[in-house]
Amino acid sequence: MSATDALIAAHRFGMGARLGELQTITPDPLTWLNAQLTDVSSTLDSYGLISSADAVTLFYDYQSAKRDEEKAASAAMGFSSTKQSVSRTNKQRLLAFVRDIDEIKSTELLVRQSLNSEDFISKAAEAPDKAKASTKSSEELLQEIYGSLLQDISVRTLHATITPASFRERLVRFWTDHFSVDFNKNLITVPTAVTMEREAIRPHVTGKFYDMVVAVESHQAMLLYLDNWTSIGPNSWAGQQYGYGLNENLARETLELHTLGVGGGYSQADIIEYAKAITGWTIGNPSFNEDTIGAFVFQPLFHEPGDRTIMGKTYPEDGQNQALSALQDFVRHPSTANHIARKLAFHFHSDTPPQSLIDRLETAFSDSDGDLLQVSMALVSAPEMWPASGNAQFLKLRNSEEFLVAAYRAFDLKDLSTQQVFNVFDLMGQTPFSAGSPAGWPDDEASWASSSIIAARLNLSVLIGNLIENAPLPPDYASDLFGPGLSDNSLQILSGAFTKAQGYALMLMTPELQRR
Amino acid sequence: MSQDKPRFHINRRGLLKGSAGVLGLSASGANLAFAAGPEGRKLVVIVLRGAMDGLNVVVPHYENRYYAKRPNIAIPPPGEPGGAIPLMDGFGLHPALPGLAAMFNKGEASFMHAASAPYNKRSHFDGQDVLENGTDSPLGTLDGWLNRALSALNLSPGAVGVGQIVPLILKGEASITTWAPSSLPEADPETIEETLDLYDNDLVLKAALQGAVDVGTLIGDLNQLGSGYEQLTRAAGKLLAADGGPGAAAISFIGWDTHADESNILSSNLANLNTALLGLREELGAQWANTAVLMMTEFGRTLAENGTTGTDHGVGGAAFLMGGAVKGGQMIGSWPGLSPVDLYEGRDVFPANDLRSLFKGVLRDHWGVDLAALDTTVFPQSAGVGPKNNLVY
Repeated sequence: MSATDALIAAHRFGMGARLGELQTITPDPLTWLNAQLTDVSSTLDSYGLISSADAVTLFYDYQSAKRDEEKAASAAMGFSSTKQSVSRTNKQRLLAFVRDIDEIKSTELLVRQSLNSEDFISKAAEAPDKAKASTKSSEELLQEIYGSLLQDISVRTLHATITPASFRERLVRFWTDHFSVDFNKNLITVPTAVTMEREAIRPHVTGKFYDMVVAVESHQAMLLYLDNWTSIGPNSWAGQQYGYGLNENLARETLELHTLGVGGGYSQADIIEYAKAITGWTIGNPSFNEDTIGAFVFQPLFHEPGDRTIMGKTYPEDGQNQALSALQDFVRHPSTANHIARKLAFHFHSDTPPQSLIDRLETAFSDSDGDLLQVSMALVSAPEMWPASGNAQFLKLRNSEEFLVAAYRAFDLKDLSTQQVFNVFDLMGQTPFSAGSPAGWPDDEASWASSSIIAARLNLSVLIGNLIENAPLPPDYASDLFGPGLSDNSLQILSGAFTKAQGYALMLMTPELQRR
Repeated sequence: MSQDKPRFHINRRGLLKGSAGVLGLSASGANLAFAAGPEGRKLVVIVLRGAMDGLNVVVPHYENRYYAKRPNIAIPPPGEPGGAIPLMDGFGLHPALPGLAAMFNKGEASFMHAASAPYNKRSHFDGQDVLENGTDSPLGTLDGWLNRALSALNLSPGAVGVGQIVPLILKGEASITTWAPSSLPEADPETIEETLDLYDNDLVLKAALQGAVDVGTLIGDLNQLGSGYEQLTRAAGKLLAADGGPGAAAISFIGWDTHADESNILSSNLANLNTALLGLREELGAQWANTAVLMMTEFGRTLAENGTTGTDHGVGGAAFLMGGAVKGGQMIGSWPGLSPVDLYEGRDVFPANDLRSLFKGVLRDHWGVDLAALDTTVFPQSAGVGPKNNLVY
């Protein structure tokens, strides 16, 4: 193998080279990549981040504290408070559930306002480390909610910065983006959106695609983001009691984005049928299921009874299993293999991937019944990914998160504060878990080569350049990171830098680092 | 996210002083690669995010029910202290908007009340998505109607999104550029020059950075542009007015979700908005005569004030059309009234006027977008919603 292959392994597959890493990889780049597919030890388990069930509970604690404080305030003003009945009928539970949802909707703007306050972000960044008080105020809980978001983003960025398994981290990000959720939806999604990657993506990143799909579609973050937790079958018990109805969001995106893809062979009627099949896929909440608050639950009171026909096949009424059977068929549908293959090729190769690469990945997906280990190995061994020595071109423009992680890896910037990590993402226009669309972040050059983004990268690079101490001279540093990929033009400009700081800034702005 | 968090700006003072020649910039600046707008006509779209309270901005002061339902936060009728500025037909404008009222009375602004995108579920994000994607559903399309309108023209005049992230309304096939003020210190001119040299063999990155330099040159010293909303509209105005500048700009202002203490928040926001609109007109200069400005919000707010001297999410809201190209002085569309039977679900202004009729009228008569395209691609499946006539010259 050649130094060029090491370059491709570290940058095209991985998240960018750390100092000295290319040298480590050079003897056997293929083994370096494949080992990351079979070694599943790279997790975030040791960082003490909270689970999705705890995240949902945290929100309900906040809501409850807020209500108690408001009650206390009105009691102090002489208003009497109404008593909560201890044992409630299902109807009372439903009304409480609906009231909670209305309140949750009204927290949307709180999310925006909180994140616009530097002072608040700085408090929140410290919140999870504070001693656990027995009774917390709603303000403290609010800080904790944001704190868990900020900590998670900071930890996964730190992990990507220092891990030797950076190809695995890129696969994780690819799948997280494939199943994009956005924490900005409302306050309950703030702490929950970030947990899905740890709980539903990482465990399956080299497992079966079906298992990943099931883990995602039943994950609290997805159920909240695409509204399925409040989707109620019109002929279910709850549907009959109250006019709360079907919500098609999750069903539509499961078919259009997560599995078959646009034009994959389903109709609007199929979407509605599948939406009915997943009614009842919801989250334990204080109104129903008090013992399982925050956990995924199948709620029969919400589930649309009856058989469902989707793309010509009938799925008999079978509670939660009805939709699982449909999901199994979606995953096995030829459109899904094609959809996933295209996205992978587009992401890892370029905006114009060769058809032969797409075909290769599609075959690997179909032949293995959606085994992501086999698909990832097919990507690693695909000749299209390994242009001959001397022809190695950096085709794909890094998106802003990839740019930042590559810069952090290049300079081993692992000591940024939680708040700094968050702010820099914001400045670069790509805060994780906030793509604003279930389709995820754009993955094309035109979206990231915007004037404002490139200029923001330059301004940041100048700042970073000034932080670097005791490092090799810029041309030597760049040679270490890019090996034979460093162009004569870049080498010449880095050699002519006025100061070391300027040289490091320019190194981050080279096409070699901006692209992969 | 916010107009208060400036984002990027490369210091132009140094460039203009020392390095303009090196960077190939002429004194007048512009090297922007935009086509001219249709007959040089400019379109500015301002999205007020958070649901601006239409009833306290375009005030139906003739309605007793307006005062009965808002004992603490109603805007008094014209002539009283803090009263509305009179417009016509029993409507007045919030007193913090004297500049906009003057535009209306001079024939340079028209307002649409009881306006709504085809959405009535009162969620901000879904409402904004519908407002911007031009369909009747939050996930109806993943691109925006302004971008599709640009694509429908033979030669897209180009557009600039003011803000780091491209707003949904501008997403899509047609190429657009972005500008956002910066909170980072600015790269020095020498480093900018060296970076441009790095891109001798990477023309995409070179064009992006050169675009930033050019746009920054046109905008000049940010400190001269005021702050907040005004900084953004003035920057947009400078870009639109430049030789070869884009034909459209999209700007967002946040902060309109007045659940509590509405009187203070709204007065302050509107005063800033007033300044921003006057700043836009000033920067556009002679181009103001060729400009239409559409300003809208995702929905209106409840007729009744709530327990925290604010209002909650509603349906029908107010929209605004301004500019030298506008046939002003009109209240566009119909007014459903505020009696209990006329309200939507007994609580909100009825959405009597589909915002798409306003958008279509402007796109057809200001830019010459083909009606068939408006009915099918720009606003999919909307043939039932005809364009309003007689909005612009």
